[in-house]
Amino acid sequence: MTEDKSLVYVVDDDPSVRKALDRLLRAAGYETRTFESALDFLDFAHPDAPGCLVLDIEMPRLNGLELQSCLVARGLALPVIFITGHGTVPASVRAFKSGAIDFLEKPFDEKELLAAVSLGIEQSRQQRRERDEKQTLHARLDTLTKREREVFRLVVGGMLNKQVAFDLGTTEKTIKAHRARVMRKMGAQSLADLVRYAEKVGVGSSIG
Amino acid sequence: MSTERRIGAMAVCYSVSLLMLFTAGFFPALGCAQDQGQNPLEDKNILILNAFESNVPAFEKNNEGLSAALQSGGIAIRNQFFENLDLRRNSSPEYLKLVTELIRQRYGNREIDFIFTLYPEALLFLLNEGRTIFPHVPIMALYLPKTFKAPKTERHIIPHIVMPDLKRTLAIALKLAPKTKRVYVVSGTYPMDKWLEDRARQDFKAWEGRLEFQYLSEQPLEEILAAVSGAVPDSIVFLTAFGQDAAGKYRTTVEVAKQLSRVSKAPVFGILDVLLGAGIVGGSLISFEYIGTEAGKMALKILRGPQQKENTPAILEARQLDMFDWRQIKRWNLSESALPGGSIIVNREFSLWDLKYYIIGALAFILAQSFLIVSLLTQKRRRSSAEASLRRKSEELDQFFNVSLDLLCIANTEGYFQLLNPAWESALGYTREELMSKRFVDFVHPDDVERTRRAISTLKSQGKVVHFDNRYLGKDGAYRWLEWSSVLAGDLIYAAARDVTNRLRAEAEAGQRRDELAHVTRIASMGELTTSLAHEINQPLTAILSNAEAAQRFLSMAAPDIGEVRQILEDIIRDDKRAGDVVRKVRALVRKDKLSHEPLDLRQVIQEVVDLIRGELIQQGISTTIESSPHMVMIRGDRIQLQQVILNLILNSAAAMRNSPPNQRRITIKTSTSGNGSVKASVTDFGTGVDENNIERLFEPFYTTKPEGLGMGLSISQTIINTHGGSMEVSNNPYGGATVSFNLPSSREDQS
Repeated sequence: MTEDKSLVYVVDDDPSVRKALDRLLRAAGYETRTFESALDFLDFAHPDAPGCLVLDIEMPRLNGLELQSCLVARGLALPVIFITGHGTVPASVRAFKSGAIDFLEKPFDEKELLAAVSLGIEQSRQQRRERDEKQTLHARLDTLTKREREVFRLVVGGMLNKQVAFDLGTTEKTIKAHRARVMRKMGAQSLADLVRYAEKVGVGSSIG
Repeated sequence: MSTERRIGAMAVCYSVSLLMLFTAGFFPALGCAQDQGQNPLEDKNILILNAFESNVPAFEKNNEGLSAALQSGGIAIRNQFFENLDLRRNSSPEYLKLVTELIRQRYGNREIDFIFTLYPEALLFLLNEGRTIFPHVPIMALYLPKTFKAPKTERHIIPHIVMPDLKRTLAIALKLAPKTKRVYVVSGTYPMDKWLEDRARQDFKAWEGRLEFQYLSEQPLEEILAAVSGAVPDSIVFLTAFGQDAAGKYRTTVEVAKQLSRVSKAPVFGILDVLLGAGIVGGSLISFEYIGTEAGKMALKILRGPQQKENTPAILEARQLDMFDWRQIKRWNLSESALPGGSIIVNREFSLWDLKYYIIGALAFILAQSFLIVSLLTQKRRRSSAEASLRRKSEELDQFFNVSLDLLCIANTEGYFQLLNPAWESALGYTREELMSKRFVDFVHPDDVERTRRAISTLKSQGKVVHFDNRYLGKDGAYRWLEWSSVLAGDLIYAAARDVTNRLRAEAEAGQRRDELAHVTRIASMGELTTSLAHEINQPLTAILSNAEAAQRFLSMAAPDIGEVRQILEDIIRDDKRAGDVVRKVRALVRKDKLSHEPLDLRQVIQEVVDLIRGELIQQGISTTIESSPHMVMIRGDRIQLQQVILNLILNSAAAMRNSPPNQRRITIKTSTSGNGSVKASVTDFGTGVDENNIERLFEPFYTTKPEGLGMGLSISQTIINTHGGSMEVSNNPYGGATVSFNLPSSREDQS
């Protein structure tokens, strides 16, 4: 679908299961990495690529749910699909609460797994896109002068140029010029774009 | 040896009885002295007034003699009235009045015919306060000092004056102890004592110059004793009388004599016969018994004769007697030959030497006769006691034979019963005649005949007690298990059998119940394991499914990788087998099988259980370590039951760690072999441990610490281990948690 390679990580202590899942995911066209324990996975240096994690809940030492908590704590927010040999209600509730894509009971059909994986990858891409856009907008925001930021804040707050000029004690003409520069620097085509960007980088609330 | 000793003892008995025979001969002569025929004194009443308390030895002696003399004259004891006035300790007018009144009351309506007074105090009482008592009865006043002055009276008094011969006693003492240089003269301070001391001072004047006299009376008794205990060599002690010491304390001369004798460094001589035996050597003694006897005799004479003053003697005279204590003579090593002729010697111990001729003669005779008697007696007793004990034993055996619950029999080697006890009839239902009519192997279960024959041939060849068992056909057609113990004697087999059918049946039933219980608890444990089992089966199923789906995908590709697909199929087969294994193990555990007794490697037994339950442990966050012995740990037993034990132990450990911190949830399972032919397995956890107070109860059925537990786990486990010949124990670890371990006997394959 997209140009960048996506990765599926499989963490299961049972070698048979690990190997079978690896095969299935590769046959479905994913690149895979397999780990026999949660700790091995934590030690692994993650490539900067979209991906998702197929995670067995029942593992010695660090189990799947604990691994997920660790990941969240480390800011490595990967979408997680839990698999379990004997799903219990409390475990599944916990999994979903912490943002799991799905909770699959072994043995599961490939459709279930692949659907969840594809959803996870998509979510991962989405997360990455949002993260990238935010980073761009922040970079652009950094190029604004102090006066331009004020104009930015007041404009997205819904004020007319005249009101802004009055507020800042200057002429409407000057404000117009500032506003044009803000639009250009932020890469906005319209006032609507500008408002959306402001929301994303938290102008409006943080400055006002 | 023992016969000799017995004969010796008998000889002594004979000689003693012989002596008795000799001495007994003298007694009838004494008896003849009694008056015979009519007794004129039968109704006479005699009153004896002792001046002092009842237990004064002098009075006791006197009264013994007096009473005996009166009795010999026909005055019975019941007509002799002894009164102890106790005047030494009580002398108040009120007391004297009371005593007077008492005596009057006591004898008011009785005729008294004669009165004795002992010591001047008693006479004075009778003449003063007691003058109204029996005023016309004659009085014999015993033991008056020479200086005694009687008050004027009309009464008929026969006095007895004490005239101790102190000189004679001293002379005798000096003869016995010729080296004597000093004489300690011991006296009390009572009037009579004083009087005697004065006599001594006068009488001993004759010796002054030759002897040194030291008079001891002006000191308390303790000091006198101290002086005597430090007596110089070549001295003697002369005790006069001692009723009271300088400190005012009342004593008796006997008591003082005893104390003197105990501490004295020198022989003690005295003048009173009551002191004889109390530690004095002797002397010319005033004999109270003798005086009493003489007084009694004189009284009899007076009572018999007409009551006129003229006819009666005016005074009683009694001489002193030379009396000595043989033991004291020996004690002080005094020469017996220096004693005056006609001396009375008391406490003589006859030496065998004195009797040597009698004894030798008697012994020789007795010895010969004893041998004869003893041997005859022994022979007879031996024969009759042997006969009696044989008869008794045979009767006892008959009784036992008849009441025994065990089957007792005597059989010949041809295989026929010769004798059977009644227990046979009740056990098998046949009459004894029926049993004796056939060979005994005809009753034995066909499968047991060979074994029985073997036992009998062992019996014949080895001649010791042989134990075996077999089944006997009962009259009802059912076989009974008999347990035998038999021995061969001569041509006969003596055997006892016990019907153990019921016991074996009960054991079998108990075993069956135990197995059923084990089965039930196994199924119960399976219930606890369902999630784990689901996990163990789901794992391979997941792998199979995913592999199959992957294979499909690979095959639908343009250029399928056949190698990969082949590998997938191999994996599928392996995983399928793995799932099948799990199912098989579960079925084995749930199945009700007969106990097997196969050789097992305990490590493998444990591994299989851990495989089954791994999922459960993982889910509970428990890590499991197996520390196996590097060698085979071979045992014999039932795989399923042993796995049940291990399963129980692991589940218990897991339950104990339910609330432990995650990093402490560890179970270690160890196996090892020990040199003494046993193997050991242990399960250690880091849980709550066990309550030390209830450690014994852990193995009781239905004892549980788990809210959902049945309480059968450890109980069944222990039973299983016990039936495998092992033992089980529980202990707390030093750093938390508990270890449950069991030992099992190692099987011989172990060494390979």
